[in-house]
Amino acid sequence: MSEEPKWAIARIDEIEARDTWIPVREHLGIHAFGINAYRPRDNGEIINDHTEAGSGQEELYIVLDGRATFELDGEEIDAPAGTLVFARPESQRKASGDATVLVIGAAPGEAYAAIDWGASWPFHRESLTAYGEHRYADALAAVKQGLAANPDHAGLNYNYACFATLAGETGDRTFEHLRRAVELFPPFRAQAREDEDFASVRDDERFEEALR
Amino acid sequence: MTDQDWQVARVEDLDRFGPNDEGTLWRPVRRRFDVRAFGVNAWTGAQPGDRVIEKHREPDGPEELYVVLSGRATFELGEEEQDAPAGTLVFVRAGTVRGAVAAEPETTILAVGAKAGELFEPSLWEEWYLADGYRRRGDLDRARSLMDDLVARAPDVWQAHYNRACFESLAGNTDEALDALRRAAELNPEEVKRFMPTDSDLDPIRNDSRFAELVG
Repeated sequence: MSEEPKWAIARIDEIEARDTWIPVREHLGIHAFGINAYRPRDNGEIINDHTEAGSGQEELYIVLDGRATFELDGEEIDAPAGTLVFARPESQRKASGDATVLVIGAAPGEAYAAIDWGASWPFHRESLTAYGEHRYADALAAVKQGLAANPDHAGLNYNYACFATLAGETGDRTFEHLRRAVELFPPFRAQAREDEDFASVRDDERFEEALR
Repeated sequence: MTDQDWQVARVEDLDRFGPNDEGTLWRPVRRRFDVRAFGVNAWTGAQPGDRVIEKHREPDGPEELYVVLSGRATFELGEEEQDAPAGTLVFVRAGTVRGAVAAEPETTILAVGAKAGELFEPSLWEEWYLADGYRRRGDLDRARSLMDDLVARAPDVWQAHYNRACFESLAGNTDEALDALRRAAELNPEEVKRFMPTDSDLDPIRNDSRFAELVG
């Protein structure tokens, strides 16, 4: 029987980064809440513009070093190291600058659950690059490769459905992957309902079927 | 409380309650923002040697992540000691002894905790820490009032009665103090008897014959 270690210690700058994302939670083996850190992208963006309406998560941001500028529901906030920003799910937030930002998140009224990317990360990474460049067929191809190695990865199944929909592939298989994703990771149910990637199939009865 | 969907604070501006006898300063964060999904607080040791995180085990408690925000800490983890400068993350599962002492001035550690697989509920220790914080600031009435409220809300929590006993004792209300102490002892005789002999808050009632009966 394998036992998880009783404690784990890491310097933030020693955790293996995935581009500008530092997967703190996955690295330390935390199950009770989400926690990640982010460094600036080339364009200075640290936290992309988003709400957490899909996940229902409250988030606490901590500027660990450097200096960031947050925009919160349209208001610009200076955030040097030592700044705490707390955002309810509905809040529109983004951050840029030259700083390392730690983010802790979980949804009130739910037991926290998360997805480990592990060995699926390289496929996911490739798919995200393609997705960012609107090359949805390429994004889907990368996800398919990942699924060949790990068919029961919830995140890959969910993203299959997203990228296939965006690429115009809306056969039954697409909805089967969505159904499987929700089965493996129930929080995807609420997330799918808010996800703009599914805009073109929101009225398809197979979409609602998959989310039951 | 605010109906805005977001709030901002600087760590340096967070409230400071204490220091307690070990030099620990509590900097409330969860209460400050009304976080409902996980516990989060900051702790500061102003001088090297000051305790930042009390030594404790969390027997059936949350998993906890500590983030050294400033200064430098020496963590006690099980039987080991670990150096932890600013930027160090320490994750500890329930049931493992952990603590931290400042190795440099103004060492502040953020502590985040929740139980895996369960709905989060705020920990009740925040209530008596808050009350004790007011007591140390000289506001004993507020401390007593907070414990009265807690005892009404959580009558089966021995610490609520025990802390109420302490504040009533300090206020010179011997009967109320002994009554509260008795109720605490009924709920958890082992813990109450462990604290009673050396808790200076109870000195005002220590010579009452009824006190001796409770210890017996």
